[in-house]
Amino acid sequence: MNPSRQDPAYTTRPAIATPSDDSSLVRRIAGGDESALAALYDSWAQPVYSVVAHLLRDADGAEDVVEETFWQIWQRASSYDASRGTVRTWILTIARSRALDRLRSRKRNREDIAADLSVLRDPAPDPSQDVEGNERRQLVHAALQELPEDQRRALDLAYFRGLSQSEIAELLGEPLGTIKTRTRLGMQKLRDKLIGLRESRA
Amino acid sequence: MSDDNELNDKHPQDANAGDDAANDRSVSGHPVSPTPLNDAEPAFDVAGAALGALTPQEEADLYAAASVDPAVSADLAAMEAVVAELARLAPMQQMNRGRSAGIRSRLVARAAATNVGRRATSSEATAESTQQVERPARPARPASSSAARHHAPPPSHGNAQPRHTPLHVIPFEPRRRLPMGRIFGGLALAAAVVIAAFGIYNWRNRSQTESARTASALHDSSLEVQVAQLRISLAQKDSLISALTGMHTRVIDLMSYADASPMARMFWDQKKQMFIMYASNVKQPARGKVYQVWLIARGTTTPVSVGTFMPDSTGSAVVASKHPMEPGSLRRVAVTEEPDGGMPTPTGPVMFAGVGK
Repeated sequence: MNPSRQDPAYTTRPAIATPSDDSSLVRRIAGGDESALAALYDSWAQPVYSVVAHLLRDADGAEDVVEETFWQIWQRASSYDASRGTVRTWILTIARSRALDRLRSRKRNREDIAADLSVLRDPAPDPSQDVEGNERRQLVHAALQELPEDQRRALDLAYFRGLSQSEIAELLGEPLGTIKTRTRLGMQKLRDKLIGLRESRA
Repeated sequence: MSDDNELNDKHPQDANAGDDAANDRSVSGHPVSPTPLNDAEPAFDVAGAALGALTPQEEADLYAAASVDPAVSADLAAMEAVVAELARLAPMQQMNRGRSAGIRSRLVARAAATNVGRRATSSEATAESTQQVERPARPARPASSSAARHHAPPPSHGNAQPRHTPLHVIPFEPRRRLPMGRIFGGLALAAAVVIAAFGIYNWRNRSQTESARTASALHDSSLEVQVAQLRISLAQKDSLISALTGMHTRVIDLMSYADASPMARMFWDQKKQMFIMYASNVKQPARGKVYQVWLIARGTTTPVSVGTFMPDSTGSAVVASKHPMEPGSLRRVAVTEEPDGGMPTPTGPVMFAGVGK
């Protein structure tokens, strides 16, 4: 038996879970099945927590965001559109949006942001994740490393520090248009690289 | 949709880029778009939106566009998938075991509570719709011309069939000719029997109908009272569940300072700035004394009184009160024994104390 099924609090993605499992759970949630909400929580609470805790640097706040995220999932499951993306993307988009709301409600000054900057670290293998998850993690890291430094930095500040493009422009002393361009190009290339790397490995 | 496919949606606006784009094309080796590059900014910054890096106005404009333009929507979805891929780089951070289990329990309890609400609303709606369906049937008449020539069933019963065959309808079947005297005599006797039977039937029927009406009225009235009571009870339970399990609620356990084993637990809804404290095994205070609840905020040592209480005969007490306090600022909760009416500052022994989380 997968340990994650034994202890919901320490769950990671069960090895047997698939996107279709997740879609099925979301459909059941939309139909008012609270046990499906519990099952989705067991699968996704830990990954969601890791993302928002890294963004917020605040364990209590991250737990609140996890709860808000799954509550929003319960309330809006019927609006999930599988044609627009996977359940994983949907959940993480909701979680990140909630985390950004919380982050931006705090008053951060320039010094706080500067002190909080960190370069992306090498992704150490996560023993709790499945092999595919670790492989994809390495793949994303490799794709990011291939980006020009200024674009990688713009994405780092936007994604991992939750800064708006205006804040990034102010922090780096660059025109807003330049930051927008770097962000856009970085994201486009990241997408292309992820597709390319995946195809080459396949 | 697979994760891979999520990334494959492209949109012509990907091509819009400045000098950076020209450099990037040579670096990546993957053309960003088949359309030529130019310096113009795209109409909508989907990458910025997916990263949550736009201004509120820009974001509102983009989502409005995405709701009507499938191309913008697809482009946004593809960028959201890229952002979701970046999530893999966040280092693993373990959730606290107990708190995660608590969040899970609260979510399921709240979901179940909303289900109760949904079911109640649904059953009410069903009952109402049933009534609405039945109402037009009451005055309806048979549609066919042959049926229209006959009497319609009593409208008060809708489409229900008559429950019994009326007694005053006697089948007439002449079998043989009889003398006129016997015929008239027989008819008179038959008429008397019919009238008598009809009278008895009518009297019994009216009596039964009246009784049934009275019983039905009493039953309806009783049901209405029960439904009203259940609604009130349900609303109270929903409110209680919300107060005890809401995401803004913090739970504070208060430990006893006395020899007995009283205990108390406080549920503090930070958003509503409301608390409910349950206490049990609390001994009766000394004569002329009451228990007084104090809150101490962070950054201060001055307790603020939020009320007094007396335990009931079983030693239980429930205290509910509202008190403005910033979320996360509750440092300590204490219960002291004070003179009846309470004191502006604590003077008596501390009976309970808890630490805000």
